Amino acid sequence: MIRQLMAEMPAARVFVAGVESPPAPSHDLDRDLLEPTGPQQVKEVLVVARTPADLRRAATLHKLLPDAERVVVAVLDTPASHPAPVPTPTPAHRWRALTELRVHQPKARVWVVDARFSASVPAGRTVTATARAFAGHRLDVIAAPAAAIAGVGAADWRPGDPNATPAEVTGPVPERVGAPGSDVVLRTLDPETPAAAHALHLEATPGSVPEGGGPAEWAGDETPIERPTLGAVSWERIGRPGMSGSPLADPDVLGEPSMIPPVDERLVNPQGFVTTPSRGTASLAERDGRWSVLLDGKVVTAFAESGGVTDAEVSRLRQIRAVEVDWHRAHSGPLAAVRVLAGLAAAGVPLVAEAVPRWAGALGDDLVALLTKRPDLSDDLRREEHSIRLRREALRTHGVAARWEQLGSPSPAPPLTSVLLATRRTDMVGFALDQVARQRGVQLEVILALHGVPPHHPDVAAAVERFDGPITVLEADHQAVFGEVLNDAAAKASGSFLLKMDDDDWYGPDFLSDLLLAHSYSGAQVVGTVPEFVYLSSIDVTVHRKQVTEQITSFVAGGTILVERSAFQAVGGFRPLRRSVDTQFQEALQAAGGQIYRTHGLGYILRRGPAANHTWQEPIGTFLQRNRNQWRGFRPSALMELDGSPRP
Amino acid sequence: MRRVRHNDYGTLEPPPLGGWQPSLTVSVVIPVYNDLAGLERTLTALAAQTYPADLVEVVVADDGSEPPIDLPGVRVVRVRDGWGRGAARQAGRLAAAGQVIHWLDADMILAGDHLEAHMRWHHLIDYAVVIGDTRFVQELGEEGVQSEYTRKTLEATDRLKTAGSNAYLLHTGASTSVRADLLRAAGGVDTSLNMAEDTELGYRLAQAGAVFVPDPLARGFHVGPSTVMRREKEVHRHNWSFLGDYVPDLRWLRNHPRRGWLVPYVRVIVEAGGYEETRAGVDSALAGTLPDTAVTLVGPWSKLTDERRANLDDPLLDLRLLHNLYKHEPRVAFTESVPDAAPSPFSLTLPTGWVLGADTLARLVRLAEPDQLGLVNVALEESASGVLTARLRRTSAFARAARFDGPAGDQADDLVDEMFGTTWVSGAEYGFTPEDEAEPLAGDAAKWRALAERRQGEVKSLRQEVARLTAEVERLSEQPAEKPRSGPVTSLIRHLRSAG
Repeated sequence: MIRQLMAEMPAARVFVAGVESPPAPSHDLDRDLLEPTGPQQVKEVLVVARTPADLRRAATLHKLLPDAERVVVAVLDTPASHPAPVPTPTPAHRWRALTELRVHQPKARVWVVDARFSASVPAGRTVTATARAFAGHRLDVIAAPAAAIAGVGAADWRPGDPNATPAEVTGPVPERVGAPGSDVVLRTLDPETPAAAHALHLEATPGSVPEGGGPAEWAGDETPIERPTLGAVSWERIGRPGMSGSPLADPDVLGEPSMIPPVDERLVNPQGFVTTPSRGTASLAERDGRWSVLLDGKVVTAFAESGGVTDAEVSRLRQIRAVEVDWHRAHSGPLAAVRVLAGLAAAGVPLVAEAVPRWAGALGDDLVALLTKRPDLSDDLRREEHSIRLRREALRTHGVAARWEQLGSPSPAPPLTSVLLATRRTDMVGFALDQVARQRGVQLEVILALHGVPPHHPDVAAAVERFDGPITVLEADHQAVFGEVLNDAAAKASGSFLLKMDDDDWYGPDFLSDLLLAHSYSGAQVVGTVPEFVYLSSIDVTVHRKQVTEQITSFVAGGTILVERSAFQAVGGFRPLRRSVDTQFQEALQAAGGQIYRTHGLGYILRRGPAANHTWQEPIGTFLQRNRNQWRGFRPSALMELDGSPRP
Repeated sequence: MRRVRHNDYGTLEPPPLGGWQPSLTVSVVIPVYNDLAGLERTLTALAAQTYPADLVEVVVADDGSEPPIDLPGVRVVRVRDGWGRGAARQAGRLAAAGQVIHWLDADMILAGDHLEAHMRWHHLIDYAVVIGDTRFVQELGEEGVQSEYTRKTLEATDRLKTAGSNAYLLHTGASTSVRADLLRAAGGVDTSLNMAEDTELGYRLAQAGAVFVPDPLARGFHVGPSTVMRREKEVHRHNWSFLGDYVPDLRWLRNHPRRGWLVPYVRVIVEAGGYEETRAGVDSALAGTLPDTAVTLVGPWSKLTDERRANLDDPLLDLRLLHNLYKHEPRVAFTESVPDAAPSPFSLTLPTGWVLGADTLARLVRLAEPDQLGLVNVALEESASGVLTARLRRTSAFARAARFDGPAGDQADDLVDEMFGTTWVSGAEYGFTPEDEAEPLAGDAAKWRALAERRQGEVKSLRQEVARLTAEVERLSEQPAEKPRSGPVTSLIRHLRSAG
């Protein structure tokens, strides 16, 4: 494919990302040292990325691309779940020169964006716009200070960050419109150059000031964070004579999660997880010098030399039940191997392993413990629980924001979520507040809307008193319209997220933090889940229903709606109706161009009470359809952490 | 006492032979007809058993031998009612006093610890049927072989542990044993059968909750081949002429579309209420795609006396009309209290006023079969007083549960769930409708409609499967590292050329 594209554009300047042995003449954004050169003009630019995730590294380096009148961006291996990557031109002056835009699929999995301009424009703008189109047109922001990057493969550390400033490997960081080019600098070095070895040796601990002499030359006041290039930490290089004393052969140095580039969670994430896989257990083992996933002796997918996992590999693993790690001759080097595992874990691929070797310590202790836990993965539910634990841990240890915090960036204040809790039942207030109180790892406040319920009722007063956290109590008349009650509650909220919870459902302790995590990787304005587990109290049965989760959807359950406050306000809140407010809200949001993401359903149990106590619109039989499994009695999944709690 | 799930007796831990203290008495019942020599060999082997002699009684049931069998020191009972193996077994077991009945054929030679091997299981649970390991030999002293059918069945079912409700098919009279009260609960031996009476008995023992245990240590030998081995085709031709009537589980013997059979496959139980609403339910049950369905109407029928009455102002008018309606329908029975469905393998309690779809019963049974569920609860509707439910019960599951249930009998569903599994389904999904919303019964049309509906469902899921596989094929054919190919990309090249 790539040769044909190049043959069609013989005069074009060619850049590639993620492509193995690209044909000359081309600039390899992963392996070549590319440095700012000042303005350059060419007629045509061709950018070829193997996968959407690879394109995001090209987007990070967009400032290195010349100006051109025609820009062709091709992605060779796009998972089928991506819609056409149509760039959105903004009214900014650079796009006014656009005269023709063609987005087409010459064959399955290949997407080509072909843009022509009436004048020479920075080619990188088309690359960033295409990368953004692959990530759902979200603002490309990494919540960390503006970064400068230098050295081979440095873009790995800021995937999809067009705000990054590429710098020469010896500095300085180019200035930007009257301000320093960056707040922090990361450069990659290959210790084969003696000066670089010296620098790495002294800079093994991130952020420390080097003693006397300083690092390899750096022309600037900043102290760069320095990391070895992945090629510098190959097994082959570590095994060379004289390397045993190198810090790069020291498991304690290698054992730092911050030694490996972060997982690009915008594209490598649990989206598309399959709860009932059709294929068996595969192994992650060496094949031709690389780690590959092997099923029945055949290669399902192989990983790039750098260890960077992309959405294309993950999509090929979704039907596989589990992946067993074979540590023998693990990938190209220890850091690259850990990077593969971190990426797979972040995507929720059910990984299992025998004892984890010391050199893989950069996974982080909790991830190491999970890998060796070995639950019964032949059981679909146990498998999904394992996957959820893996992805939580991996995304929190190896995500982009987490990595930059480990590298010394100030951690942003966690977002405040306002829980909207409306109730008509005095006897459920205590139960509902208990469900809120058990949420962990999040910042929240409660807006309790008492819908025709007196606040001085002893049950209510005691429950409010017992709740340990910010709580605002709101009274609404018995006759008030439900949608309006919720809007009044939202008006009192001060969080950047609103979460609508129901007063009688069960919520696992990580329910909210999982929703926020899903928000961060999906970018949808609304995140929620579906009633995969339903407790039917009138017949004392717990039903596990067939549901498709971890995908963009049109519906989530009313008691699980987490919405960005700005989107809530843009849509105008809930309709002033007595019922169906959830469905109406979701419809309005989608009509406005918003997206709804459905995350896993293992942290939520819908309580379907006796008909007498609730105005159930759906008959009990509805909850018995789409049955996947069912149990007599109350049977929460392990992630609910309700073991030993009395029957409801 | 341990609760065995389905027929998985693997959870039981019988003591090693010679290493335990027995306490149960056993009656060895040997039916015999004109085979004194065989009987004498069998009795000789029986006299040398490791099981304590004071716990063993031998009863020979003489099925009219000429001359009558008379052996010193041996208890012989004569078959008075009828003749043949069924009658002989029944005469023998009625005369037996042991806590366990051990059937033995008159030409079997038992290993010395044969009875002990059997009796271990009866000391563990009171609902075991133990099957001896019968070897066919040319001469005594040989290792011998199992019958081909037995060998294959044991191999395919992990020695019956995974045989579920089919485990009874290995029940033969050559050397099997059962607790006397389980045998009584199952109704004893059918005296009218003189072949396959052991298969039929096995089937009824299964409905009574029995677990079938083939014990490889209970060795017995039969010199020469059995009748089945010698004349298999003739035996089958003979037995299959009547077994279909007695054993509804043998579905392949009941492939006729309409005719009636002695034992129904599903017994639908309806409480007699208002004439029209009761009638709607009963009629729908009789019009389903399972022709061997029977209905039991429960009501105070004895109150319908024959004194002169005002016909149209009868206080029991609706009850009488129902009786009139079904008096001559052989598939409807009248009882005063909810009946035991045995020997039917399934029963459905149908609330009055609810109507079954043509395929409803067939689908419910099909739902219960793969996992051998003991109970399917069907949620029909919910009101302030609770959830109205139709229940498909597996007879064997509830019979076994009753052995563990307390006097109140209120743990049955939990016990069935533990030993067989239970599930809930939606009534609407399985074609239940309230009487006033039901479509009229339309004979065959209903059947074809049900079939069409099912096929449409299959077509839909197959279409989805095709779509999935197509995507998979596409994905897999994309996978190998790309070699330059001219075909598929020509259009792209053409485009780029014209554009450039």
